Amino acid sequence: MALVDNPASEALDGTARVIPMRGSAAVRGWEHLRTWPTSLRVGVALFLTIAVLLVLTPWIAPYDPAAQDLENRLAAGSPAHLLGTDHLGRDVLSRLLWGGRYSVSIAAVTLVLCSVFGTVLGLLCARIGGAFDELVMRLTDVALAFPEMVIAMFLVAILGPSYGTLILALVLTGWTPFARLARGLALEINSRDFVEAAEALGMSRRFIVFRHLLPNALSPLLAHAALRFGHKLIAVGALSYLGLGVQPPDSDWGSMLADGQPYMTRLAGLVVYPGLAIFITALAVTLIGQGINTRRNRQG
Amino acid sequence: MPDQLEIDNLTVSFGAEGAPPVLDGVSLGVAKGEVLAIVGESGSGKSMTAMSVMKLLPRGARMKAGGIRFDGVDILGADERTMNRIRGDRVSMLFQQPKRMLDPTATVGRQVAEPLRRYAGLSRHKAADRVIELLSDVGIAEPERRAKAYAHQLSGGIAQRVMIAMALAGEPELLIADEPTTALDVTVEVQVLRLIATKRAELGMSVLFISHDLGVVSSLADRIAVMYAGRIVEVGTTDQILRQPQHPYTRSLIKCATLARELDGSLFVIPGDVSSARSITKGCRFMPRCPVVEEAHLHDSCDAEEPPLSGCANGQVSRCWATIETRRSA
Repeated sequence: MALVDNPASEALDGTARVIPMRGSAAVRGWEHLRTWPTSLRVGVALFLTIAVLLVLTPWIAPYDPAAQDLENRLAAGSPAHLLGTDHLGRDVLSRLLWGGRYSVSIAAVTLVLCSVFGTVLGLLCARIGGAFDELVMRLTDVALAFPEMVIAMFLVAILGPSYGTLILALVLTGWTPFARLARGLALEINSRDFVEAAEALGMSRRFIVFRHLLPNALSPLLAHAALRFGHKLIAVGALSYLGLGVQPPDSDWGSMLADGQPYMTRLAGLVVYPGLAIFITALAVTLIGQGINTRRNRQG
Repeated sequence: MPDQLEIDNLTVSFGAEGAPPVLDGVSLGVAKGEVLAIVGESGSGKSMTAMSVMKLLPRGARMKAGGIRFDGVDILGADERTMNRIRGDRVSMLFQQPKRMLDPTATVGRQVAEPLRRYAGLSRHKAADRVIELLSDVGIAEPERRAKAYAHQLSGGIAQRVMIAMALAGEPELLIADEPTTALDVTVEVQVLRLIATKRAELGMSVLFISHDLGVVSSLADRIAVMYAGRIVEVGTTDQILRQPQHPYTRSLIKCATLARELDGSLFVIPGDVSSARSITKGCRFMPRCPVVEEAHLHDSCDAEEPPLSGCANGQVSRCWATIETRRSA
């Protein structure tokens, strides 16, 4: 339906068919991958590889990670033990795979809990404001003022080391940046015009939070979460290294580092391999985070 | 028959008690099916009036009024739930920056469908079909493709059409258009204005049209209310306002709209700005900028007391001592 008889005005307005649509709404499926920044593609590929390896560990790990072979201690890499054996003759590759399951899953669970808890608190702060907002924000100040590691060590020391304690300690110290970010984002998005438009359409507050606030806050929150993942992985590793994390006979990358340290002059692989594992996994997720950020900036 | 929308003596203020109000004793009525335009420069309180009707004033605003009634419903005393049922369904709104009014994370189709699913209770599938109808109804070519687009992929004109489709989805009885064409270029502006006029005739809805541009308003409005510094200074039919403006401010606005020039060839502008009026507590607010004060020798009365809104026989009202004086002597 042309509102003005002059066909030129249709073209000017963009209602004419000749005007191609800007942007890439038609991009679908695999084509979509091409619009991803390199860092995102590399990060996702790397992380998927690691995830698949860790999921398949029970079937692909060559040895029982706890099986000792004292005859064959501190052996260098060989066809039988690709990455060698540790000071108790356990296969390093198998331990790396099984340990990764602990490290990555603890980091992931912690991160999900942190981001959900932090985001909800942050959104509540932005919504309720007043004394509640003030209280929560001062709490984050306090939490940020103490080094994460000290609080975590303190808690583990009181409650005793376990899977649960480790996660609790990391969540208690790790929610603050998410709360601050979510609060800031919510305040900023709230002042944007489309929220006003939704209000003028009579949309309820809850609808606006779920339909407008969260989707718009999602990609910065995801990017932040990805950047924090490396941090969490290292924190888990550090606590385990200090003997406050995963307890023997189980092990994770951090405790492998600790176990290998006395022998690293004889067999450097004992610390190099778990260190590399932490490094590569953290790198993969950090790349994903950066990729999400880049993509967001490109879309403007 | 009572007006569909009645605003009675509305006053809105911000900040400390006793601070000069942004809206001061505004009374307006919009009859059923009528287009009432509110005209005035930036800061005159046009948008505040609109937002008061929707009860969407910014935080910290204090609203006092004899009453705001929409179709007999008391808006002033209504709670959030009642308001949410009125907003979007019975009273819709158009805004100045259509592209910013669309959520960048959702497709056009999904956003237009939201009020449909919410108010008409349509299923996802039916709503999607209706969206295509609505989009093609507001003159968008290839509505199926546009429905899948995001806000940043649209031109300003298309985005405003989408907003119109959304606003009209609930077939509202009153449309509040807050400078809907200000951000659009002139060719698109004409089309959007025509679209609004067509839709108004189709749906028989009333329109409260807010603009700073008398030219835009003159093609659409039945009546025009001129606002200055939170006050209504003149109300009349479009004909009356354009042909026999009573208030010197209205006359200046018309002069601006016609791109009148001064003797030396420079463009005519109204001297000073509206902020000077805020501090005036007694006397006429337009006086510092008024071209009539000198020639009419009314300094004393203009300075001493604000003129009341007073009418001529034909229903036109204005707020100026000079016109009151002329009328009295005539």
